[in-house]
Amino acid sequence: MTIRPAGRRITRATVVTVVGAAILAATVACGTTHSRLPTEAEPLPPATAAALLAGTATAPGQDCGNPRASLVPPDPMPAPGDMPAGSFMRTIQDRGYLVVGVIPDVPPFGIVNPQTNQLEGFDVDMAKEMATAIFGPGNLKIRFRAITNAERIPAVQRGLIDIAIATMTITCDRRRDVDFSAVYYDSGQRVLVRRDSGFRRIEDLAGKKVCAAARTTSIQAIATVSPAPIPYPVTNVADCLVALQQGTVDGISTDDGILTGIVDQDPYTMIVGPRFTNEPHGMAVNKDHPDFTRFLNGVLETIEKNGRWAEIYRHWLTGPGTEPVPAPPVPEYQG
Amino acid sequence: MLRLAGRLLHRAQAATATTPGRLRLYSIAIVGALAVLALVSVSTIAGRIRALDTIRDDAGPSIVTAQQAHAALSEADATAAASFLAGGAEPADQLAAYHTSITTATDAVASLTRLNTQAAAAEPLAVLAEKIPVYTGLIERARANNRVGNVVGAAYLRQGSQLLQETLLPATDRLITLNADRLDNAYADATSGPREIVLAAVFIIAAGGLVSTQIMLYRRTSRVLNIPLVTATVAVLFSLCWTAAALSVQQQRLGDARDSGFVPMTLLAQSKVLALRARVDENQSLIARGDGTHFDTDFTVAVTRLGVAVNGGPIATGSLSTALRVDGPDTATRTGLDADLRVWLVAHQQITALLADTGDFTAAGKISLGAGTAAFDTFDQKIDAAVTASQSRFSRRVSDAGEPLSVLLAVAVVTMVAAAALSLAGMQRRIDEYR
Repeated sequence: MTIRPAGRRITRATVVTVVGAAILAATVACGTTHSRLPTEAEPLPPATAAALLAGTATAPGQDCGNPRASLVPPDPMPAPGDMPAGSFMRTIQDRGYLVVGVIPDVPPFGIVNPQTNQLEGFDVDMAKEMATAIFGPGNLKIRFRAITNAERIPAVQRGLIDIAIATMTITCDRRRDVDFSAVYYDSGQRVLVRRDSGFRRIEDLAGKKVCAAARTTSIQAIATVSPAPIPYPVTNVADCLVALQQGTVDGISTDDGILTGIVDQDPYTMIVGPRFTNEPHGMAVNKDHPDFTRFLNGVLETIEKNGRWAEIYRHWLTGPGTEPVPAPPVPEYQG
Repeated sequence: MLRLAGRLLHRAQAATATTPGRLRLYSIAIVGALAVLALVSVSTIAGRIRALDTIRDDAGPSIVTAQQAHAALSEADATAAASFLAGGAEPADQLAAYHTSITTATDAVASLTRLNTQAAAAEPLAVLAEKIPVYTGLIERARANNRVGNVVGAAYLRQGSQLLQETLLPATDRLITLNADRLDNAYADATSGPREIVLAAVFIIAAGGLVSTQIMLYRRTSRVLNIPLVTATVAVLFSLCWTAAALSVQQQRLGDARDSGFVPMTLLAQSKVLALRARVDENQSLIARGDGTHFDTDFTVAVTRLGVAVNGGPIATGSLSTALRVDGPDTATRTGLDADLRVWLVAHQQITALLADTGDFTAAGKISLGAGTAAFDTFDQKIDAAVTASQSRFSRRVSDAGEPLSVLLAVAVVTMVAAAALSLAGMQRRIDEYR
């Protein structure tokens, strides 16, 4: 009887130990270890190719009289390497180089030659003539900047480039945003299809997808054809050929000169039907520099007269035969 | 039915009416409690071992493999773009590097398919399986056109690159996130859960049962110690202590696997991904010839996420800068990575300066292919080695964490069987006294 209280104490101690140990085990078990991906190791979402320099669409139907009429050239023309003080040409001369926006994947107007990695083409040669007229012969003082069709007007407006020489059609709508030089190349829109498609003119493609670059007169013209094809806009004309080769579209419709450049890349295509628009090409200049537009017109007149224009035309725009070079566009001026 | 139940109840009352009967009932209860304890112990330990297997063999490797797939695809795209910078027919070593990257990517996708049978992984895996061949097809078309001087080649390259950036890489990213969640869940399973609470409760019941039986016996028989029963109690307490120790060692090692393996492994793999992204941006911007402002912006974003400013200055919150701050046994494999990255950034700055000065994209492309590629490859090889080091550290430490569990499994089973046998023997001795 006398041992009992001591025994009870012992057992009580045991119970306490057991409970204590159990609590210990429970605490060990409950402190959950997590292993989340460190914040810095989390995937970075892909860059969204933001529509750069996306200009606002101009409302069509504005009348500006004769869209081909540009500003009268200066008389006399300033001598190369001696631009008049205060003129924009002087700014360019002092800077040391002319900045020209070209589209790099529209043969035969602008292309990066894969062998030499240099830009070349009809528009590129035009740009070189302008640079030579400012700086004089010698080292070419020119920096080309690749642009897309949609970037042409915004890039000129923001002064990122001095001129856009980029297969650009002169329209009244565009004249509100930029100044144009006189016409340096007269073109018109046709349609290109697969050889085996059976389509013979743009009207045959009613209800079919027809591709052109976004923010061009070409993509607008496709919608005005009756009965209308479905316009399929892409960034550059080269993307149209991808879409045609992949069967996404049934035709490409743009300036026939550009279409010729596409046929050269894919012999299973052909150009069909007549020209259904007139596309006079002009060089776009910022409205703040009318003196520069006048100067460009003077240079154009010079190269059209001295045969340089015909030389460049023959090199880029006539086929392998002895196709005659047409007469250069007649310059038209007002103001 | 009622009569049968009544008869059973009556018999039970009769059986427990006598002291030996009641003692037998105690024996059965103790053995039952010990059996439950053994079962719960085994299932808890087995559950943790399973979770460890998932961490080491499935989720962990999946994360880093998905990161590697992402890196390899970016690398292929960077090489394809760089080949275009060279102009004309691409150099043979560039072509070989491109094919190696594609093989690495498809191998990674094959392993991911094997490791990820869960339903959520099916969609990104299908995207990868279907679209990688489409991507390589577009690149081959770009090459074929480029070789004959067709500018449409660049358009095919753009389309391929877009598919890779907008579809393939996000699919690998989904697999990374998915497996990161899977790994985190497995970590939780391996270190805690409802089982552990049940285990603690059953321990209390079993130990409490043994002790109260001894108190009961002491009161009835006035014998202070029943050696077998005391030994059984000690065995259960021993098992309890062993369990607590083994689980805490396992948990501590698992924490170490995370800190010295998983964290640097994922940070470094992501650093490689980001560095490659910046390199692709550089190439794309050069190909774009002045029309690549968005690539330049993304370059800055990627380099900043790495933890280096474009001018070479440090940024604390990047993947690489964080990885370099991680302490541990493999720090030697990581030191100098930031310096290597800066060497490459110097080449990048030369390109930027040259473009601002002369606008000569061809000369800039030559720097990118020459000094740029050399510096980048140095960084790339070193970071690969560093990823491999922390990857094997991770796998080793998770295996180490499993070691105490397999021993514990044996200890738990043996002690429970011994405790049960001793309890029966101890009780039998008292029951025999009533014969």
